[in-house]
Amino acid sequence: MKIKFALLIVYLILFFQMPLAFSVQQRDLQPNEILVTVSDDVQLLFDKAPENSTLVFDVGTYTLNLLVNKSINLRGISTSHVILKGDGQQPIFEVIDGADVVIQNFTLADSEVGVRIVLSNVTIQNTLFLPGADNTAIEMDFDSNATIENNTFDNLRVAVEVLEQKNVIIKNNTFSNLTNIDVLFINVIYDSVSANCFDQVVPGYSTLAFSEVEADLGFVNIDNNDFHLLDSSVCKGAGKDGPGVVIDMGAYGGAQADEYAFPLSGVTVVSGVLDDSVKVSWQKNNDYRIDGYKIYYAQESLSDFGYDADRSRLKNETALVGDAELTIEGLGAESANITAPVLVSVLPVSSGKLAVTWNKVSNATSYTLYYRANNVAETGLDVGGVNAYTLTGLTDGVNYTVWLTATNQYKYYFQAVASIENNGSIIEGLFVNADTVYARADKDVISEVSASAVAMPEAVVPYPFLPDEGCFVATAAFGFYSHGRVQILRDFRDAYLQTNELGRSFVRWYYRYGPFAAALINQYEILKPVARVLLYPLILLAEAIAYHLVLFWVLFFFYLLLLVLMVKWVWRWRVKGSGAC
Amino acid sequence: MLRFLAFGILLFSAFAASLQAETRRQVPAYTLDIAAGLYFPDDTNWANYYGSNNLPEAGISFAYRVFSVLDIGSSVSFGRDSGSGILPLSQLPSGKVSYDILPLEFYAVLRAQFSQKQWIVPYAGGGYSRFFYRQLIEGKTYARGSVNGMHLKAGLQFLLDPLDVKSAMRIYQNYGVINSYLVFEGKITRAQTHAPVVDLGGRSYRLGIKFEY
Repeated sequence: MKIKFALLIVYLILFFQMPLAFSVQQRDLQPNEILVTVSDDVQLLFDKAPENSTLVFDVGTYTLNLLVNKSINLRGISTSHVILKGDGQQPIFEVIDGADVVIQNFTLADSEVGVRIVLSNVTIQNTLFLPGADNTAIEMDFDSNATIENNTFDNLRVAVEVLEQKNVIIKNNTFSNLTNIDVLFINVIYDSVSANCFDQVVPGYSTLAFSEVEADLGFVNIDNNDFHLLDSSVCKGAGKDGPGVVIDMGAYGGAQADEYAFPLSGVTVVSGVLDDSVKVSWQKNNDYRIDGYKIYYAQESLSDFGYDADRSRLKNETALVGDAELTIEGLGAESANITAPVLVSVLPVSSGKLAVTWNKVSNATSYTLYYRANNVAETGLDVGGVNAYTLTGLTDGVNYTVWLTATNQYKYYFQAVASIENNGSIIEGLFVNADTVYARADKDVISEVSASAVAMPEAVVPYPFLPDEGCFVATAAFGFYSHGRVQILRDFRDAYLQTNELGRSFVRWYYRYGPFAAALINQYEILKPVARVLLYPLILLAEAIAYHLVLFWVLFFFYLLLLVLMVKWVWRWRVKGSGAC
Repeated sequence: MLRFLAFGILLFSAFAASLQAETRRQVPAYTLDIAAGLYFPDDTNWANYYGSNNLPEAGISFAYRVFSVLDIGSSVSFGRDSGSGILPLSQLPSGKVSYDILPLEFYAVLRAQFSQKQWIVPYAGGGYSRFFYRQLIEGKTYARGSVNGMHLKAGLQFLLDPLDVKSAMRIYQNYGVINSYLVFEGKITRAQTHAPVVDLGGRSYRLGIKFEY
């Protein structure tokens, strides 16, 4: 018994540890690290996180106002890929209550204040501050300490504002595109700032040792927010990290910098010289660390693999190249033969809908579904690689002929990444851009058509068929309570008459006298067509009001004209009659 | 409305007080019956659309005892079933449909009761039914209406008082309940719409409890 119990405990522990172990393996997280994704409630996750743990923010754009009131590490997967935006006037991070907090590897953008520190100790590293031209990056309130190192401050008014000077260290940062250099630092004492890169002289701080001042700090592409350094940058290797150790300044320098290259842009794929080749090109990335580029390609979407996909699954990858273009050959010019799919069923499901199912055939990457009403041109729909589809927007009571073909599409998906070698290990860029797709319809192989089937969409009615107490006359006239015309009147009653007092009065009146008329119509068959003829204008009017406003006005004026003509005719008749007397 | 309620409470209090003061009455004047059970529609296709051939229903009845062997009264019940609808042309089941019934009945019942201490009381009767119905597709009302009908019912009442005399006396003193019965009842309902002709009738079997005041 004891052994069984012990085994059960072991099993339970393993069972509950398995997802954790899996997630650690997937994201290279440590046991005390908690992954945060854009779909998470970040404040809730923070509140639940244990003291001194690390919240690791996944790639994405977050709108955030996080109240940080305990000691914790907040880290992004990659500085340029984890973008935190402000929520109104509140700071993105508000650190309070004596917490020891590390903030690193984020892009903080569009916020009146990026980080506010109150009564706490904060280290901010490898973060890109883009709060906006009139805004403040870091604001320090009472009794707070901060180490601000290896960050990039761009296009802002105040970098650091201190209410009460305590221990503040500002080093190895870059400052560029500043709105007002006089207020870049507010109440920050002279010797707190050392070894930083500025694009202009800061009054009162210009004689600092190890500081670099250059109009162009040498970023790769500032318009695209790529603040990696060019080989010629004055900030490259200008930072100090202990005696004799030099590092890059800015958000991508120092020991804690992420090693991912900025995403490549401008990826295009065109036909190559040979029939089975394509030429892939992209915009070169001038980050000095980049060793080369690599292309991944497949006949399925690579975006589905996620940015940190297990790329061993992707067999199609090129060797590293130094240029910004590459020709890939042997892309399966001859597509496989493909047999016609077998149509299994075409069934009505509800008003205007037909459900179509078929058997998949090998080598098919997509299916094209065709349908046609009588004497109307066929419509073809590319429905992807599924084996069931519901056609919608059809007309009830009309026969549709349905058939399909299978296609082996000549379609390839491409992702281009830059690669960086660091201390012997290769770090490839993340899959964060959409796939670049290359398709050639002329190379698609399309199967023979399947057998066809005919079906008619129709509206669902309840069982058994019970009369509705409203619309007595219409039900009697059309003989069936679920007749489409009767339903129009019923909808009109619910939507337009029952919603106002005048309409309700009419409904009450109708419910009182309608059954007598209905009984009369039921008794004398000859009255049914007469009632229908009389009801049609009302039905048209109801349908026009409910669904086609233009038609309503056309009908309205038509009926008005009809009425005028009738009055005129009656008037003439009466005048003639009186004349005869 | 408030005045009417206050008057009702006053009347009930006086009635209860008079009952407490006197010894236990022999002949009850009113009965209240709460029961629940299953309604089996006569429609043989019912299970094809609603999954089973019955639907749950519950009801409440109130009757006046004209003589010791004759009750006249009224009852109202409610039943609901959910299932699929139908595509009328292809006759295929489809969609989500709910069906509500609310039969309102007026009836007379003959009871084979010859003593207030009689343990088992058989009864039979019948009367007029106004059969209200409502159908919903995907939660939206599609059709509603009502139709005249009739019903016949028969059942057995099992006197509960001898099982716990003290409790029976306490219920009598506190609430004026003279007799309590466990009731098993079977009922046949006939109700038919005219255009189109649909039989809404069926059989129902209920178990309930009856209080006689």
